Amino acid sequence: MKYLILSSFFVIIFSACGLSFHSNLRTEECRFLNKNEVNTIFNDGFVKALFKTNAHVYGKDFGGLIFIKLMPDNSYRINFITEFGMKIFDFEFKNEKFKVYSCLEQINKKIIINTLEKDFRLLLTNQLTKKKVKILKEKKSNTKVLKVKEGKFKNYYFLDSTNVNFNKIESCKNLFKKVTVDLKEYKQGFPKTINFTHKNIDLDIRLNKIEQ
Amino acid sequence: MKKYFKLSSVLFIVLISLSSFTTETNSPTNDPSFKPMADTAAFHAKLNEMSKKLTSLESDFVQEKNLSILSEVISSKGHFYFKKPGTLKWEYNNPFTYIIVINNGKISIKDDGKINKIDMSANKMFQEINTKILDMLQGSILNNTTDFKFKFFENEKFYLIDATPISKGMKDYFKTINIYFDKKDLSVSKLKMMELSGDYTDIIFSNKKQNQGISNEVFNLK
Repeated sequence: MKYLILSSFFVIIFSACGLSFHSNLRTEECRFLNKNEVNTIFNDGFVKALFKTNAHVYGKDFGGLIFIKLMPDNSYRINFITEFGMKIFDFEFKNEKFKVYSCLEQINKKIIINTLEKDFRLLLTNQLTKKKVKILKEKKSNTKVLKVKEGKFKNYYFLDSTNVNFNKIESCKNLFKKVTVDLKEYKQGFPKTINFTHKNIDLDIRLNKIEQ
Repeated sequence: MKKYFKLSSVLFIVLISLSSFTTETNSPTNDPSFKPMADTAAFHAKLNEMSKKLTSLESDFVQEKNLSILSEVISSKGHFYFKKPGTLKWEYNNPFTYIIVINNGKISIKDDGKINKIDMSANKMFQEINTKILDMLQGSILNNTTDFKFKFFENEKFYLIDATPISKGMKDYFKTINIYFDKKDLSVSKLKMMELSGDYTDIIFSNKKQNQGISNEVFNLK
């Protein structure tokens, strides 16, 4: 009985903390990905995208538009503006470098900026095509999961039944899941919705692609 | 803060009543047709007259956000409503839907199918902005030169007020705001809000209907 209570306690605690178990995955191989083996979304052929965006940040709701553009020097610029056109932030990702051009005072906190940087790196400047990745398979569905280590983080890219498009990304640190990204409704190789859900901080972002 | 900016944007729409008379020789636009206004006193009088007669205003609008560094323009369209004494509605319908209503001291926002209501009395900043809006609508803001410095221009079609924010908050974000009034009926035809970053937003109004009455139902978000 004591064992059962103790087990239940740990299950509850670990679930609440977003503990990341991947016992349902088996390692297949570790290698470089072939060209076009997976749809990296923001890399091959990507030019720009506009998203209707809703963000929940520490109890406050922000709405607006996120515009992402690949610049001629291969850097990415992300602008978040309100529907009225006022800029909330302007970030640049250039390989490993990250620059904040502007950020609204209310969200200009280190923890928020760092989190946003890590979130968008999962999509924009990930290491999937740059280094060897561990290819795993889900035991039941047999779908592929790509595991790549970036710094202290282990990132899992879950492929859908097409084995080309990602439907989920999980970023984990020290066994704990930090953020889950859900990607849905692919149209011409691009997801209509991209949702970031954080486990340890009150920050969720929902992107809904606007067809221009 | 976002809502503050939104409200600030709303403020500029009702800048119809604002004035402070200085004349500058340099046009704020790149359009050489704009010259310093010849008779600011007459413009002031006409604007006051229009403001007194104005009971409601409704129009379509096109908003163009110019991201200068990215060389991109993000366009959206919608419909705008204003009814005296102080009810406003911005309804974006393309390429996304988003509605903001200011009515009886309350701000309502419909976004992503959800309606959020904010009581302005609980927030000093919103209260202050609301007071300013009402002051503008009632003309008492005319002598307010603490928030903006104004310059006056005109060409064949438009009167142009160049408003430079001088109060904290707005001046940290906006370089200047240009308000274009149609000479035919003194209705606002265009707003240009220039940011310190070099980005700017144009809002162009069309199909304007003045004093044709707007049902109160329009301002009830459901």
